[in-house]
Amino acid sequence: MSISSSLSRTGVAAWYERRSRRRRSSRGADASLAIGVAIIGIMMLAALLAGVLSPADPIRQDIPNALAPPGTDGHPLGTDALGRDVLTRMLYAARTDLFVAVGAVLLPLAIGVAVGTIAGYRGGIVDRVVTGVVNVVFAFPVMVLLIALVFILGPGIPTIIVAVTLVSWVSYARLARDLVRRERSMDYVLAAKVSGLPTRRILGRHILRNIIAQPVTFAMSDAVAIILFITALGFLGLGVPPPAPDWGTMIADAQPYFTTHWWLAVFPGLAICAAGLGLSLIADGLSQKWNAQ
Amino acid sequence: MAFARFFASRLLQAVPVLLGVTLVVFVLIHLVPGDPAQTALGARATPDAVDALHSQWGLDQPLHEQYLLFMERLLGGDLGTSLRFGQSAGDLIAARLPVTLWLIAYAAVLACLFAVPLALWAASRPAALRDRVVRVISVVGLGVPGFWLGLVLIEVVSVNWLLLPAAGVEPGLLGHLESLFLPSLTIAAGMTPLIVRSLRTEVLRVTESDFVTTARAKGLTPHQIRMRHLLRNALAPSVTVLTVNVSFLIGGTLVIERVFGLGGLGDLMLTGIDARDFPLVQAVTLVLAVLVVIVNILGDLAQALIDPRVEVQ
Amino acid sequence: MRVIHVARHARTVLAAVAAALALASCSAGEATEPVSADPTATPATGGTLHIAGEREATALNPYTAIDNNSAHVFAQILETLFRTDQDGQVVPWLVESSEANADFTTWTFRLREGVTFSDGTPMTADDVVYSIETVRQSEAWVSMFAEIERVEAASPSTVVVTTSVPSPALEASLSLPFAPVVPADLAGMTPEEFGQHPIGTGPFRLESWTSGQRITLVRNESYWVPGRPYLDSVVFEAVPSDSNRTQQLRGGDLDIIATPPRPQLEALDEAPATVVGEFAMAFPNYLLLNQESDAFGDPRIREAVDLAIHRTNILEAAGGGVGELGGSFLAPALNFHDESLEQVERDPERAAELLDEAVADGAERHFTLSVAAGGTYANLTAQIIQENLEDAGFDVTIEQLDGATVLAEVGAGRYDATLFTMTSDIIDPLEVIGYYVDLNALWTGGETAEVATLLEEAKQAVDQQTRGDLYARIQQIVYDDRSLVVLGYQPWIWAWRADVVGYEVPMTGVPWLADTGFRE
Repeated sequence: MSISSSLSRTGVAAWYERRSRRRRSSRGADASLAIGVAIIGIMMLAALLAGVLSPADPIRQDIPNALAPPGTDGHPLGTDALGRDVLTRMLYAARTDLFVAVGAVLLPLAIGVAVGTIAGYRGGIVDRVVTGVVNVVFAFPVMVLLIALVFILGPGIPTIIVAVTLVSWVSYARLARDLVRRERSMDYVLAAKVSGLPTRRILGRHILRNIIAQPVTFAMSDAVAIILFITALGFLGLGVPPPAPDWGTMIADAQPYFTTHWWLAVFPGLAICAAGLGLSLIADGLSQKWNAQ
Repeated sequence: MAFARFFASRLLQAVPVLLGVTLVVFVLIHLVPGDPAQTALGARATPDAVDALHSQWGLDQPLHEQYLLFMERLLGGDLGTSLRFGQSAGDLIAARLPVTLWLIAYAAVLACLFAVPLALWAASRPAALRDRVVRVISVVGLGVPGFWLGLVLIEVVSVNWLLLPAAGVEPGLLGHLESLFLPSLTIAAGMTPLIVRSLRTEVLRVTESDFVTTARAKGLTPHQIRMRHLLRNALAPSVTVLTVNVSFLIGGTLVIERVFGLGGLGDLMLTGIDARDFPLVQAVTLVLAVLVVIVNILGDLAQALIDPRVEVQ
Repeated sequence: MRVIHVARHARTVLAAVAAALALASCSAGEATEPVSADPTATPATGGTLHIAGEREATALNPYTAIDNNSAHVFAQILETLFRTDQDGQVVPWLVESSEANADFTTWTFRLREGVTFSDGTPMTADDVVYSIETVRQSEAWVSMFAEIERVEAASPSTVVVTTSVPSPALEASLSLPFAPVVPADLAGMTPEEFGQHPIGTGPFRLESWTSGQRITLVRNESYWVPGRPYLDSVVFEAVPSDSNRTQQLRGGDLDIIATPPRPQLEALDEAPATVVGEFAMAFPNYLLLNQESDAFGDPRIREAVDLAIHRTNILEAAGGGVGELGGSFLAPALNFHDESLEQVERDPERAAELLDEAVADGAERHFTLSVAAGGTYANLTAQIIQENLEDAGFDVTIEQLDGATVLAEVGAGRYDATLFTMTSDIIDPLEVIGYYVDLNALWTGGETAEVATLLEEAKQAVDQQTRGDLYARIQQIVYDDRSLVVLGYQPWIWAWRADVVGYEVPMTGVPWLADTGFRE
């Protein structure tokens, strides 16, 4: 589509104009990065240490103690309709959701950048085919294609990662392609070509190193969207199959209890917000830093 | 004249994309692990029933024949037959489309009402406090899941304050405006941070180009320039940004329909999924993708009307 | 849990099986006094009432629609010859009186005078003859009315029904909401047209039906009961999600809702603006085990399931503590429900042993539990069953599908296990047992031959004691067969705005809105 090449599909990546004073911008960037990394770091650590932090079982039911309010002995965030500890389930859910998100960001990043770089460098028919495919995938609303793919491939963590990859590699491919095309005509590339360096080395050593910052920045902001997609799938009953906990599924299960047992839906929602905020801050910091250079 | 030519060329550009879209939708069913007809009918379906569905879907023919058949039906206006409802998928979609279109349009309008002033306000003093405030709002807003926000809004606004309907669509224009306000607001809230950021960048890009130089030459201060020209020049970027985000908008609609119990296309698609109704899911996916393509064309046309320079590109 | 008990006359009324759609629907219980602070309040005349269930009606032709949701609507338009009152007695409604001969093979019905259809034509014996003839030939009810031999109009206001065998429960059968009085020859309409434009003697008539959105009924000005109905109009809506329904009730967009989610009952009842009504215990919950699947052919496996399930936990967590436990597949609200048949005593160790024995003989540990997506009760019950059975050594996959799809799969016998419920439309259990027999033991392939024989005997038994004994034997057979694993019983539960008074939900499971209105 003609207008969108400079903007990401989700519009998440932001470009900060160079005019802003460097010092201030870099200080802001550092703060954003630090807070973002801290939030995500703590969440990841908590997810990894779930078993240590909470002795409770995330799946085992304990119906006599169901629906305990937050602050109940041994259940700081209360228990759900089947008596399972909400905090424990949230920790294990963080494991699932963050793990899936990492996979669902790295895979499309790698595939998209590789395809885009080759298309941009080679040009010609390869470029036209890649651009065509990218345009077609862009025509589908992300969530719609994602839901259709998860439905078609059947539920499960691998399915979610594959589906997200199939849908979101195109953003990276388009970005990398545009960057490589710009880079291709630069002196250093021409010089490398003349000196007889093999294409693989030119791409790997020189071009990729120069362009990679932007796709990586974009990946961080894409991760925000990915977290929301994954949890939305869980909310719609298309996520990680029960009884494994996932924030989206927890919220879906809590829906009928909202008025009376608000904590069941509110805490997992806040967890998603926190993960989103952390990733969003990292993306924000990176893009500022990148622009400042 | 020039506009007509632009229109024609834009339509032409859409043809390969649309062809690709049909191809993807067609291929979807072949990605089903195992036999799609068997999956649709369940593990214990009789072989006869599976065979019947095979021939109904044309699965017993070579792949390219199947695609030609698929396209032939499609061009004849046949989107397939829903297994769950036993009706034409096209009719089902036509009945549900209005609610979804309402939501999309309503959410887009609300998102603009929030985002445009915020973006202009931020862009009027880049790197100033206001700019940073807007940035923080958008950074925080980005990570809020819409389905959760919707639940919270229902609880607070409808259940506690008794203000707006909690779910469903009320008849009539006013009924629609009232009952679709919360769902549209939820979708708009998710879109606003995206739009604010892109729009702010776009506006800055535009204001720094040629006409700003002209204005400077007239002796206006940078602030006056922004205030005077920003509004006029915000329109084109807004259209651009909205167009780019329409796919996000439609995706959001899908989920939010479920939260608010609205019987639109999203609800239809999810019902189709629960019923393992492949033809219906395919049809809805196709229609939504075509919708994105149409909105993109319209966006480009609007752009061309607003800003003649677009044509040159 | 404190819930106002609106009417809990044990085994009073009964409610409905719409076999095919029972899974999805929920309906009513018994209508009685309003549950408001002032139970004697008389409703004001006028107003529009918004009432919502889970699904939209499929058609308003009583002979083609077999789902409860359709009955909820057409029961306001079309009336039956008899109704079951709050004490579980079958009473005359459109008939003035009815008499049987000594061996209950000839029934004489004298029709009520002055009853007219909503199009102004008076109801006559010809209409009643046509109606009974039609229902007894319609596919869904043919076996229930199989004993009817002749239906004749003896005079313009007298109908005589002759049956081939003694039919002591014919009045109860004719209280079936799906057997209302319609104009002879459907007033010249085709069944499809009648489904869109029904004409009846009821308190309301159809004004409009916007498919997928709402069905609007307005007052029948020529209704034969003086002073009724109170309401000007009634709007039926379908809101599939119980959470959404409850939110809309709280927000005041709806006045009455079916089946609020269990966890919300207490809060709804304590809130000043809303009221919860718990009606007859007419709703049995079954876990169906398909003997014709690979999973449940071995009776030891079915016994293992039966012994492993923690019913009290299901009642507490999924049922919100509202309901009862028991062993009979007939709900407590039905006549001849066998109270002495107690719920299966839980014994997980024995269950594990039985399973191991059966597996040693080639049975499987794994099965799929198919449930309708979106229901709170089904979702929680399925998870509890999964854990109980996995503790005993089973391997359970939960499959969530669209409600209609589950029914289609189950109806075609393509399932291992599913959650199901079957409610009755009449007080006598002959209807539900008839379904059990006709539907291959509710699609489980369980014992039906002996049940069928006993049912025929019971239907003809004039003596109540004999009848009760025969029904008790049927309940014991189903209990021992363990294809319908009884998880417990639930009452019909509705919730409404506190300004609604006189909400009557007769035992048929179908609401009765003629006496309903808004507080003065």
